[in-house]
Amino acid sequence: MSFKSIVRELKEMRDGIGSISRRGVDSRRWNGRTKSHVAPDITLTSLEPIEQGKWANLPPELLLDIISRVEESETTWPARAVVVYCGSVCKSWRAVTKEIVTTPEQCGRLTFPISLKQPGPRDSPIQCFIRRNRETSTYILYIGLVPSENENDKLLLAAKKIRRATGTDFIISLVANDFSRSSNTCVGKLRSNFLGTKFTIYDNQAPNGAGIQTDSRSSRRFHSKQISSRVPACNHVVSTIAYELNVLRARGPRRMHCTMNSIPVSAIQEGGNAPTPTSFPQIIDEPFSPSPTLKGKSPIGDLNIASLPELPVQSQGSAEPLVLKNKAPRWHEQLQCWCLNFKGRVTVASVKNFQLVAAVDPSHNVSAAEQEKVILQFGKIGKDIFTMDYRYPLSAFQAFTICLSSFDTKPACE
Amino acid sequence: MMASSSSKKISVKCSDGMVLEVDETLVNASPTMKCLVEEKCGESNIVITLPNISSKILSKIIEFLKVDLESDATFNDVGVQSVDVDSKAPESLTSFNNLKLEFIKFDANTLLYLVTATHYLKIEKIYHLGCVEAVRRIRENAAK
Repeated sequence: MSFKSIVRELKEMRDGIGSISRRGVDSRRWNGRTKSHVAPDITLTSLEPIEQGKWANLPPELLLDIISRVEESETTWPARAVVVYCGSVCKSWRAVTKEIVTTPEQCGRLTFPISLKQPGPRDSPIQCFIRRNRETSTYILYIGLVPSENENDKLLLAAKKIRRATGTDFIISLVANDFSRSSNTCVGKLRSNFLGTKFTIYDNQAPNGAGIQTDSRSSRRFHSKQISSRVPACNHVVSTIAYELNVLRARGPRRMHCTMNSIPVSAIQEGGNAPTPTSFPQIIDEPFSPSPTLKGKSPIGDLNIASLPELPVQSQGSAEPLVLKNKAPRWHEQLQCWCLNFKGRVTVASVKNFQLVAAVDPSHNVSAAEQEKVILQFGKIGKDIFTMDYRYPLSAFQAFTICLSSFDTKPACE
Repeated sequence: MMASSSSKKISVKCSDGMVLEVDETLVNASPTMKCLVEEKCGESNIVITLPNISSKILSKIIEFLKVDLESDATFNDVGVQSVDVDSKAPESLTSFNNLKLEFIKFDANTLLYLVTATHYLKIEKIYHLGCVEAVRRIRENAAK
């Protein structure tokens, strides 16, 4: 079809022109669900200017209309890939698509990879499930209520467990086959202490997305001839999770406390908002001249390596971080077990099952309705299959990593 | 395009220089063209210019407009009179619903020009059909 050939040419135009931004790579990666990440080649192709102009230069209101119709027509994955496709056709299409697509908080739908780092909707949770593979020690997060029969579920995030001498690491990636820390598919990691009682979640980018320019400048600083691979410049602490034994009853449920360093308590107060990054750090792989001093556009000037680790961890200065705790189960006398109402989403009893709610005291001024809301729910439904439901103010990435910590706590300590 | 003597014809000059004689009723289906005509209401022989629409696209649009009016014919006697009895309207254009099928046959460029033209001319129904087809193709391409 000639439409396809025009779109293909536009894609080549996008690929060939100048630097490849990470955004374009993200879109393509997001499309090929099961394909491995393809590195873009930076070859310049010449195109007839007439051909490439047509679909790219539609009048904006026309483009807006067409792409809006596409966006509204497919709200669930895997069909929603078409929206990401529209965003990857060319620059003008991308601009319009980004304008049309709203955050998960606003529309309850996940679209671009960055949606995974944005808070979920306030009213009802986004429902996902996790599949564990014991042989490869990988955990994969999919969107959907339960695994589908034809197994073409949309992969959101993947994690690999790596045991180290001092504890366990989980590397979180956007693809299931690449867990290298320096790859641009790596979005963060979870690190545990030796006993498996304390965990820290690290994010590769600042939670509020404000560090975008700094990131690109800092990565340029590294781009001298000596360093060939991109090194992530910053590790932001997103949250710390602590598990405590229940000392009163030896086999009772453990207690969880998640201190969300990146989310202030104000997020769940009246009119509050949680940090919402709008894009991944713009790491632009441009070939630089061998000299370490950069001439040209960005005057780095006084930026030096020593100042890099000082990037703010908390986006809201001295605001108190939100703490989540697990909802205490009730003891069911007749069934002789601890019970939580998972509303049908969890069907197998397991020590890993939990529900997280906000841990606030009266001074925090949080409404009773907000306090009741289950922000994260995780539980087993079958052998190696778990459901995960999350909502505002958590993002998919944060929810997934908190659930991963549940896999690693060691029963021997209890 | 012959028509009964009672309907007035407007000359429409296209981007490729060709001039099409269009029934006034059909011209008025487009608020844009109607405006252009009204601006020149004083003149005896009205010629309006559409610098961004080729004669090929415009004639396609006229065809569709006729079918549109035809399908409304039972409700609107005025439309019936301007229907061209001698025209070689293909079988598939007998009803407005079949227009959708017509759009599927268009190559990408024609679809693009049609959508842009009907957007400019503000012909809602046909613009909508064009958008629906464009969306359908985008989804089809994304799936591949």
